[in-house]
Amino acid sequence: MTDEINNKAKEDDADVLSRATSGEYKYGFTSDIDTDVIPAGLSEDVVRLISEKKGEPEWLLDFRLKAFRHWLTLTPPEWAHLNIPEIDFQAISYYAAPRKKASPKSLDEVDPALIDTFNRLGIPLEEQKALSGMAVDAVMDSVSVRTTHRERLAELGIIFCSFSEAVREYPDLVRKYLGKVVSYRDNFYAALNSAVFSDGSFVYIPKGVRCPMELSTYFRINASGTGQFERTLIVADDDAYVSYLEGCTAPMRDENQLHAAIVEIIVEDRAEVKYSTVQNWYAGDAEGRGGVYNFVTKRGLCRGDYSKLSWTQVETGSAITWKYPSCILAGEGSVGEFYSVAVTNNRQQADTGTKMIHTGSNTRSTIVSKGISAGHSENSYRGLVKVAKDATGVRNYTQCDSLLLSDTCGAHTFPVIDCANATAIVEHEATTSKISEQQIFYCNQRGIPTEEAVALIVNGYAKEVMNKLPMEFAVEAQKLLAITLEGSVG
Amino acid sequence: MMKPRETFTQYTTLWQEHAAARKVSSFIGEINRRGYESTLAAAAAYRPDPMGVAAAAPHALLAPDYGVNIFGVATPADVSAALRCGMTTINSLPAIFANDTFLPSDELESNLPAGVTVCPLTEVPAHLEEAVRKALSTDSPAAALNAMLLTGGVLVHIAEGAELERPLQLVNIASAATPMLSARRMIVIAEKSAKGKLLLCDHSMPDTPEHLNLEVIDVHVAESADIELYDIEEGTAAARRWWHLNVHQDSHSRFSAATIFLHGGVTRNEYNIDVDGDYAETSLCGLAICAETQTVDNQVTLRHHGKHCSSRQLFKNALYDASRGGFGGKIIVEEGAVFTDAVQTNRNLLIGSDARMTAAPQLEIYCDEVKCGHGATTGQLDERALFYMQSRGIPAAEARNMLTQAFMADVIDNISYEVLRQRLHVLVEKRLSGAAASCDACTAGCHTLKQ
Repeated sequence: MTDEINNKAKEDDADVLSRATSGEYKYGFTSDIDTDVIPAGLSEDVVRLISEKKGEPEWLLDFRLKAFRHWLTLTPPEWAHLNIPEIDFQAISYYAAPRKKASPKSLDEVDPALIDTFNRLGIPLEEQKALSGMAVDAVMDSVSVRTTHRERLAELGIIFCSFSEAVREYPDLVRKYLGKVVSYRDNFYAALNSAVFSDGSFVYIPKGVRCPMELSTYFRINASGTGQFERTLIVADDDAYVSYLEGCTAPMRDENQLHAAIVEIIVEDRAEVKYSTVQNWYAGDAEGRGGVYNFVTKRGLCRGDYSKLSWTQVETGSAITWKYPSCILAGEGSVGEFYSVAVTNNRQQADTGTKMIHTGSNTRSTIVSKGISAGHSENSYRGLVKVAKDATGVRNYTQCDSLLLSDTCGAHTFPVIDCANATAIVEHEATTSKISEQQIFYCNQRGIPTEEAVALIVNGYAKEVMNKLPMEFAVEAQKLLAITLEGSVG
Repeated sequence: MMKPRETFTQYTTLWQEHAAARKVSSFIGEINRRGYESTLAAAAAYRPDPMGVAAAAPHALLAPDYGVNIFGVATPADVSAALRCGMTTINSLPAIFANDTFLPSDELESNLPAGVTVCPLTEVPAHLEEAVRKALSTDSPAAALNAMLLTGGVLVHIAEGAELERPLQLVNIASAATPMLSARRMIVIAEKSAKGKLLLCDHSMPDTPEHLNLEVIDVHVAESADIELYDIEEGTAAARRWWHLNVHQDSHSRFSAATIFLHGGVTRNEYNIDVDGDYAETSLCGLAICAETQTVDNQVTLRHHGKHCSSRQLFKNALYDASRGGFGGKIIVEEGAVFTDAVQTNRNLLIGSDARMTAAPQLEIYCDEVKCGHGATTGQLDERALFYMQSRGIPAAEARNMLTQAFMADVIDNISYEVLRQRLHVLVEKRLSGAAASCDACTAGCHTLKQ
């Protein structure tokens, strides 16, 4: 098994070159599946319609309506270092579901075009099922199409299903945890998501259970002009452990697409959640036309004592990224981690980082952020480390480095450290640099072309974060780094 | 509760009502008018910073209904009696700002080196008017409001090649029976290859009620010129200070500034530095020892436009009791500012159980050929170092003071003027051991200034 993966890794490395020469967005294709789209626009009726189409209970409709009414009072946030063209929220269709006859029982029943799409994305369900031992909850245009490995997980009492299924089958659990970490009042996009969220994943790991496999979802935006409003809720009960992977690829589109997701994580006593993301939405072409707007609210609550939440993200896609996976460290001795690599090229803009909010005593957090900017892109780290007055013995270490690969790009750091307890130790360190000519010369001298040398050095620079990714993801992420930066040299 | 914007417009309204009745020179009138327009614009564009220190935010400082010396009534002061503050040992050329009135001393007037002009803004020589107009900034909220309310102010002009070797010492004294806003402006123009040292001391009379010192300093450092500026604050708990430094640096110039906070109420120091030329050097330092509910917020914006420039920032705070510290540092490296070497450091000692520190060290970089770094830490004294000292017979309290003093030492060591540096080491030591800083050594101290 390990050999297989290693071999695959070698092949993948060889692939980088050929891919690097092609230049176009690899995942830019559209699959022809009948989609059930409601007309563009957002009103209370649309919210009711979404809820009705999904056959939701009254309390969830109430939640949506409250969120919608609150959203009407808000304006989009402007504080980020981003240049966001005005978004017409009435021009977006808020619901798109692949039309289906009945829930598929096996792979054979799934629409062949859909299977093909996933195959071209490089996540063949069957292969993945057999080979990597992962349970894949493939989400396509909002409605979860298929979930694998369900039975095996069910034996352990683990719930891993689409959000709408969870609403139907585990309403009490969903109701107990929904909106507890990210309230619908949190921000503009969180309110929007809470009003119109279509589907997503729900994970519940019961007490004392260690999830035997990496749980994984792939998101895609597919239907033209539809936004995607995913909602993920992960609950790890006492002493539980889960590693969750999220990967994103979206087809090439000319118009901009909006993606406003919410991820909520609740970690109870001594439980641990590891959340890894590889984000590769379509970034637009070299002139900055098209591309996905990725405005995501991700937050975890380490409610239990000695709980741990670890975010790892590799951000290579999206025209605009606005994303701050955060930890609220409330439990005594809880631990928060954030490891990030954000790469921007051409006209991409990224404003990403984390918040570590220490309200519990003896809580610790580590932040390692690596920004890489090329072309005419803008890449910002924005972070907050907050130590509450009663949180004693808090420790934080933050390191954020930026690497600049062109004289027209921007690399920015906006950290805020707010410390109200005299026993806390908070450290922040940041550097900005470029790849030196000596490094490139050294590689050239040994027969490595400049473009490959850059990929090599960048991968080395990001290694600290890459090492935190699960094996399968690490390979993909390294490839992505090389692909994203192609054409940025010379 | 007043809206943030209204804290500005209360003064524009006041000014507008009385503008016609004021008797000022056409030069000052023109500055006031410019300030008025800019203040309106600044008020319209003003957004409170949600992450900043609330008490030291501009709108919080402006919120009280201060009296404004709108007709430019001079505060009477006995200059010769008031000049002997603790700093006289450093052999300076002293002058006084009594609230907003500039009063030069005989010592200053008789000892000014050739090529150096020091005069109130009301008496600017005709040939320098244009230069003053150009140097006087109104593009920040502080500078705009200050320009509108300006009645006096001082110009320091150092001609090409001239040198102000003995430092010019400006003692700012706040003295009033009612809450008062004093707008002070200092314009420093150092022509090509000029050199100069400036020392500012802020004091307030012990019985003065809550007062706001709105101090704006515009500095233009021309090619190869060298300016050092030091600021020591020793106000009372009733003092509110909004200090704004605006600097433009040309090629091969050097500029260094240090703000030392020893006593006071709420202080907001803004540094706005534009390094326009190539091969320029900039050094900014700040040191604050805060106790009780004292608040110090240092906000730095340093823009590198030129090539091959270097800048160093070092800001340290020791926060006792329920004091609050803030640091906002922004280095902006513009496109084309290649070979910039910028470092920013902020270190904070959180000592009091109710103390709080907010730091936002920021980098904005639009150019790849740069070396930029920043570091920020908030923590405590090293327990092992304390233990080591105690195990050698040094009492805990004394050991703490020694270590805190050592923590502060490198800020003071950055000051190149030796006499002042030594004096500051003594002041900090005295401050940490709880004694009043300089004024106890003063023979005819400014705190007993006669009305």
